[in-house]
Amino acid sequence: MDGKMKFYLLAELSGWNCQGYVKDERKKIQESESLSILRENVRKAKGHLSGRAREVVRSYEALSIDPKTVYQAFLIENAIDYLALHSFPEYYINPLAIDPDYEGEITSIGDLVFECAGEEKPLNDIILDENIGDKVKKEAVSVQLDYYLSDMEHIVSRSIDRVKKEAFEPKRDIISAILRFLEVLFFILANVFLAVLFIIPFEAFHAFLFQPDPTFLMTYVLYGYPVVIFVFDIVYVLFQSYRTRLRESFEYARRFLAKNADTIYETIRQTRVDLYDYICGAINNRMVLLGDIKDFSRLKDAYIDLRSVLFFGNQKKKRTYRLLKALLITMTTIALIAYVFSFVVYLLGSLFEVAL
Amino acid sequence: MTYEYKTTAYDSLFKLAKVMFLDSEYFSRELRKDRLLSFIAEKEADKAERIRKLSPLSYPDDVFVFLASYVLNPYMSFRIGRHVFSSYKEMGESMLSYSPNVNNVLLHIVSYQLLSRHMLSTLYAKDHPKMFQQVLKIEKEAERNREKAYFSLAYFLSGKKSILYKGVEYKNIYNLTHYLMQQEKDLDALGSYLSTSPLIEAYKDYSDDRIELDVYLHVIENYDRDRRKLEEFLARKRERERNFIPFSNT
Amino acid sequence: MSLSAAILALFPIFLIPAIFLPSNRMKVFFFASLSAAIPVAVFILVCMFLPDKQLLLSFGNVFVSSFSAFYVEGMTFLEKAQVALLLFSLMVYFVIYLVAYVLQKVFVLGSNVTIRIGPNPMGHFLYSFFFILFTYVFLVVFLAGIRQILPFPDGFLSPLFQWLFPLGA
Repeated sequence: MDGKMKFYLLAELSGWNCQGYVKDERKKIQESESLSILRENVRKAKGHLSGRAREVVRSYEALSIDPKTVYQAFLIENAIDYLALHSFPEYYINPLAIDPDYEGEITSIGDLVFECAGEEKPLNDIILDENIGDKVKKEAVSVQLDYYLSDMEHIVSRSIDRVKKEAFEPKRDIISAILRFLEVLFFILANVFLAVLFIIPFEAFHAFLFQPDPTFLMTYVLYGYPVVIFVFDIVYVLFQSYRTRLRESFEYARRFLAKNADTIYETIRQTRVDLYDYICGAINNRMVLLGDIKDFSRLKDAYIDLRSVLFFGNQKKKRTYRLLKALLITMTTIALIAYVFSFVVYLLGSLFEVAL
Repeated sequence: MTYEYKTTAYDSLFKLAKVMFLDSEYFSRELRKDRLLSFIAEKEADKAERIRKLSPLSYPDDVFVFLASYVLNPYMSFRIGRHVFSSYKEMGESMLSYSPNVNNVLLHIVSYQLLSRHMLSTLYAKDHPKMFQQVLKIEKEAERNREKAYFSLAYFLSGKKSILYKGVEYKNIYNLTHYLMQQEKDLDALGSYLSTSPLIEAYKDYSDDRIELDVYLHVIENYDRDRRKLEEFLARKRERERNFIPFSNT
Repeated sequence: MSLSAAILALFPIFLIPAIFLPSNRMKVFFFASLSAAIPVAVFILVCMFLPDKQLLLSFGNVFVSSFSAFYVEGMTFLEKAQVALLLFSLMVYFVIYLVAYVLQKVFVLGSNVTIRIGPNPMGHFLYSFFFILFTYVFLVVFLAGIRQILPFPDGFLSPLFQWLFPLGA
């Protein structure tokens, strides 16, 4: 925004209609460097679980670049500048909640921006600043770590809620749980019926195994049904195995959280204490921090993979999953039709002891 | 004994004090010399002593002469650097007349708390404690922003609610911006100036446009601050990337 | 269609989970199948290999009539007892398997799959191998034992079937 727009802002607030000057500003905002920085940073921030990262992404998605007045143009551009600055990883990375596989530009806790003595600057700069007392530095660090801790606790409680929701959400997930149960039941029934077809002696029926006659329905039952069920079984175990593989991190986390929620909170609190001691050591000795950004992460540790819990829904969007699911639905439908047909033919045949 | 100044012989400290403001440069020198100090000492030794204590302090001439003159005559009307005011209201109006600029001599009033000293000296403070407190408050603000304190004091003393700009008085910001849009060629420079102008900041507290100006200043402050922070951050980042300055503990 | 071909066709149904299931699940299925397989295997071995098949005969005296729907014409009492034994063992196997599976699912946490201690292909291979042993191989043995009542010819694995469960025994 140049001085002219600032003048129009004053005029507009005093009562003048300055909407005519906003059209060009809209275009300038959309082409501004701040907005392109923000877009690029938001793309990277989406993979992070920290509260600040999520806040930046949320705010960006809620941004509407369509000012109607000079005042709105200022607010929008200010919001973009603010978000652009806070969309850099130095501002949003939480060392307690960073992905242990993170390979970004931030390599040290010392690169993260802390607020100290009314100013925001990287922690390493604060450590080396001779003008700020150690006590002031440590207080600033403590405040920031308290935020990191509460952010991490929030991530854990979201995971726990997510797990509970997955288990107990009414309606939608009860229906899908019922469907899964019916799926398993049908798998068992279809295979049991297949076994019954061949194990229970029924001469009139088994005769068609050696002398198939296309005019008799039994022929189709004896030859068609096993093939359909065989293909169905293959698709079913393939899908279930793949699905189980995808779900395992989540299921493990769910089992763990059900038993050990307190342990994880205690671990996080202890990690905050350890991190504080670590940084204070650096402050006392005027030593900058290097290469330690992942050393205090509690996201994927000995206990739990919170990331898998919170990003679980994304697994179902994978192409392979969707393909296999579609195949399973198709085969289940075909198998169900074959089952009903074969069951009816066999039942009638065995009831009246004739081949149909 | 008398003291000669410009063909006039002064035998009274009171009368001499009343004219000292007319030539601060001259009297600033004289007050540090024997001729005038002996004259004062002869009349009232303690006043001479007080003035002697003032002289090593590195005040500007106008301020030194002002302080010295009120030692000699505590009850005279406010006068400094060729300015004399019969009332505080007149002082305020005079201060505003230079708007949007400040008068450097009158700026000393807030920089060196001269008004509160005057009020104490003339016992005005005793009869008008609320006003005195407000003046002290404004003078305290001068530690942070002298120009804003100047205009705050001017508006407070003058009691005006209109905005003065280059000798013209406007009822409100609406009228001011209307005039400026028509008259001024460089709205870019004007806009930048007004956005950080101490005049606008001070006027806000005394005008009927308070809410609008609050919003205006708040929006500008946030906008400038966040833009500056972003630019500083980007500059630091680019510097680091360009030079690849790794931190080391050597 | 022969029994041998059917048995081979069934193999992928067990192989697929053995390969694709994560190690935590693999362990659960392995322990469940182990819990079911061992008592059942012991029981079958004892019945089939005691001298004069006394236990098998005693079992047959009690249970042969319960599985009469499955017998075909021409089966001797011992053959019927063998079929009854295997069908009974199958039921026991499923019950124990189910109980063991549910208990493990509820009480066993497993290890954290996201900890990369280092790849353990040998561990996974062993779990998969024994899972196939206690499920698929048991199924093969079961089918070999009840082949008399199945309407299929033995096929190319007939020597194996005969070795496991000689007919006429």
